[in-house]
Amino acid sequence: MQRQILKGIKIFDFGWAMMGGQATKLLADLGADVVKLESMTHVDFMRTNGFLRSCTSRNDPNDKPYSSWLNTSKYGLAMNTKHPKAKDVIAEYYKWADVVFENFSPGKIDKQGFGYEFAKSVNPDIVFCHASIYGQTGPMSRQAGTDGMGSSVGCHRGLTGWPDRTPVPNSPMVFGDMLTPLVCASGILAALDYRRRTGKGQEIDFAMLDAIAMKSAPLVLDYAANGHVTKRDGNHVPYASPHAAFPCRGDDRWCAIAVYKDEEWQSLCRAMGDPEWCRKEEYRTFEGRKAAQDYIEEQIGKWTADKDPQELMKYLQERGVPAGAVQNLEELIDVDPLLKERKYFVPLDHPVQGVIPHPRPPYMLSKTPADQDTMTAGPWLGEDTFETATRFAGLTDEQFVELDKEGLFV
Amino acid sequence: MDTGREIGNARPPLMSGYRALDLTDPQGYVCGMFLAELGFEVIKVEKPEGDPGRLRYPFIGGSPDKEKGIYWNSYNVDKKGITLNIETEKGRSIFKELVKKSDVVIESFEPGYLDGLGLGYAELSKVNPKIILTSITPFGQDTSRRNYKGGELICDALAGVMDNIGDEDRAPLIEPSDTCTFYANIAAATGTITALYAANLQGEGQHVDVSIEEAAASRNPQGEMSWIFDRKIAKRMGPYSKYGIAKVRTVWECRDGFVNWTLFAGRMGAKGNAALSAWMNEDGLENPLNGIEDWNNFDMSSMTEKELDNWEECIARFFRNHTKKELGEEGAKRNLSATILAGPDDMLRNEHLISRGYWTELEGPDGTVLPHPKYCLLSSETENFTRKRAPFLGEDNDSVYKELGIKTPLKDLKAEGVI
Repeated sequence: MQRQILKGIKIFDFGWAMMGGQATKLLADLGADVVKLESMTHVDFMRTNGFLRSCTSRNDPNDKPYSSWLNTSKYGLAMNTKHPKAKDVIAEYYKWADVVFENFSPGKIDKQGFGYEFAKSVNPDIVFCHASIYGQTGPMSRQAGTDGMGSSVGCHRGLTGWPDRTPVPNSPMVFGDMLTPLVCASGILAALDYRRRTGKGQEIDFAMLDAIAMKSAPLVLDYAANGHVTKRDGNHVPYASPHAAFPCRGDDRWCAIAVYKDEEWQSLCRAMGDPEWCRKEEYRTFEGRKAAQDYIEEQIGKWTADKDPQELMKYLQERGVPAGAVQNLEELIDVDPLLKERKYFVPLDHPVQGVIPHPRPPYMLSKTPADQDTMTAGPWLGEDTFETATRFAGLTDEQFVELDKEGLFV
Repeated sequence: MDTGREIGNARPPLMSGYRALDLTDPQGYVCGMFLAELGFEVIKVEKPEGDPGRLRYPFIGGSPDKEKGIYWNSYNVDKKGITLNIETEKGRSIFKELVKKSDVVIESFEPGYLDGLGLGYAELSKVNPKIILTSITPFGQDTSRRNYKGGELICDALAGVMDNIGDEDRAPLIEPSDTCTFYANIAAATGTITALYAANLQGEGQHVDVSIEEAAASRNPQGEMSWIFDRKIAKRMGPYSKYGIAKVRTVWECRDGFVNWTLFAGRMGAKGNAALSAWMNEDGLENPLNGIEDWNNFDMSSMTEKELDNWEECIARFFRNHTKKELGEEGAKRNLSATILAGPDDMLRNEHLISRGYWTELEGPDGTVLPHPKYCLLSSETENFTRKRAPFLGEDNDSVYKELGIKTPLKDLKAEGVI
């Protein structure tokens, strides 16, 4: 099978920040030609975010692994879109492209004159994709937003935390910023397949809130059917008990243990040496354990307190009990076998930092995996301006030089 | 944009004409649901006694009932339902007939289970070379931990998700409603559609392998970069977040709940900070933000901890003075950038979602009408909408097996325990 399975898909990409980077990266890593438009006049903040003190400077837009991670396998085009000749050149890219992708604040791309109507006028069957926090329509659509804001409105953040304390965020992790790109990548491929079969392009509105809210379907159904308003409840869930992180030996060390089935409770009791307290008849059923969960979890915590979390996980798993050490990122990346065995981090040659690990998409295709052969590090700002302008937008060398002199390609 | 929401059934979905067989348990329901929304005909294939996920708590009406599980009914909308015992020889041969007429098989069994039945990828691809087999499991198909028992909590723990969430003086926490499993399912759907796109052009399918732990880990690029490049690990810090060096509060108590608001530096925070300061003045509250004139160049990294504490205290007083409704609605007009921490009740009342036609009403298993999310994307050309409740056990046996041309009468197959 041809390795770069999405080769032949052509995307013109206004995407920026995390959501805009990741959405088209997922397609580029498997072969799609993605031209990422940027400009020195308005630098993507993934190129200005200096949070990695050890390897990034304040002013160099090209030394940020953040930008490279989110834009692997793309071409880099630098162009000032406010330049009077930008529209003509963008029209040429639109003629070349199958897909245009953007995630500015809703309305902005139309205001700039590069929206769907313009795109259709030069390329009638183009697939034009918007991504945003709240969507292109509706009263909240014009509000600026972040991952945290989408998570808040979307019934995620407010339900994370202890019942007697303030809800807590999940940062530095994100949810919507990485979930929405998956929906975008799926939708783009689906729309291209639809075009292949019908000849028709379309405009698509992807919204982070729509994607996050889909996850809350069971909570909304429970509320509508039963009047039950789910609240934050620590590590407890309605379908398993006991279900918690238990203290282990050492500083801030924990092991998660879950009992989903009644036979797993029996296994856990045997693994603990069948102490007196767990022999109660009521505990044999989920309902009985759920009713006494605080007491049961306190007793289990006493048993786990002097044990190493990794050894405990192994001991319990060997005895049929679902258990997992609460790993920090050092353990996940350096110790845990999973990401290594699945080659999740792909070493790629970064323009400034040399060979550094980059994540591949979170799925593995058995015959055509995304790896060193299909992926490249993210481009430096404007790395492929000449190449894409001449090869994709069809400019002659002379035209390129002329426009460059006029200050278009910055 | 014109999304055609008012036009009814006039527009087709993106992916009509494709068929997926869904063998999953609760850790894999969402993948098929997402494909069904995009237009796939998704057939949920259950054991004759029903998928154990039907009995996952809670239930519509409260008491256990195979047709009333809330999880089941939420994440199996738009699927057809048949029963088939693939552990019998006849069941396997019927399954292979189904595979011949399908594009995708989704499963979430323990790795090796389908191979053991002679229904692994190697066998299925002999029956249909274009078939995509998508597997959603805690630890993937081919890792040293593949036979460990998983579940949302266990995957969250191992993936470094929990270590980041919670208060420093208590245990690490999970996120609500099986977030990582849900996310892994959308990743599985994306992998599936990617493989299908290629199969249509190259005539060859493949095995899509998704690990819930890996998918969970993929949500944390910033944390992972901090470790890989700076050898630093962010610890959980309650309602605070860390942006660069500054630790700032992101969750605030208001009069009737909580809101999300962050003191950002520079352009990112300029509008919200200015709006907050002006509103604090109108309320006549002590306002240390008053002195700042140029919010575009504001940077809290030069502030002392004592100053930041004082700011936090005054800002907290402001939020406690207002309701969720005020902060959400009036705040939007003022560009405050505060958002309420919604619960399920707030979500259903959210005017923005209502105006976008986000909720649809489907007849529930007991005949009452219940709300469900209607779509995951809006399009000018196609309608990718949820239209049907989750299937009853074996609901579509007659029509699906008839289409397949199965000659043995269904009552005989039933008597033999095949369907």
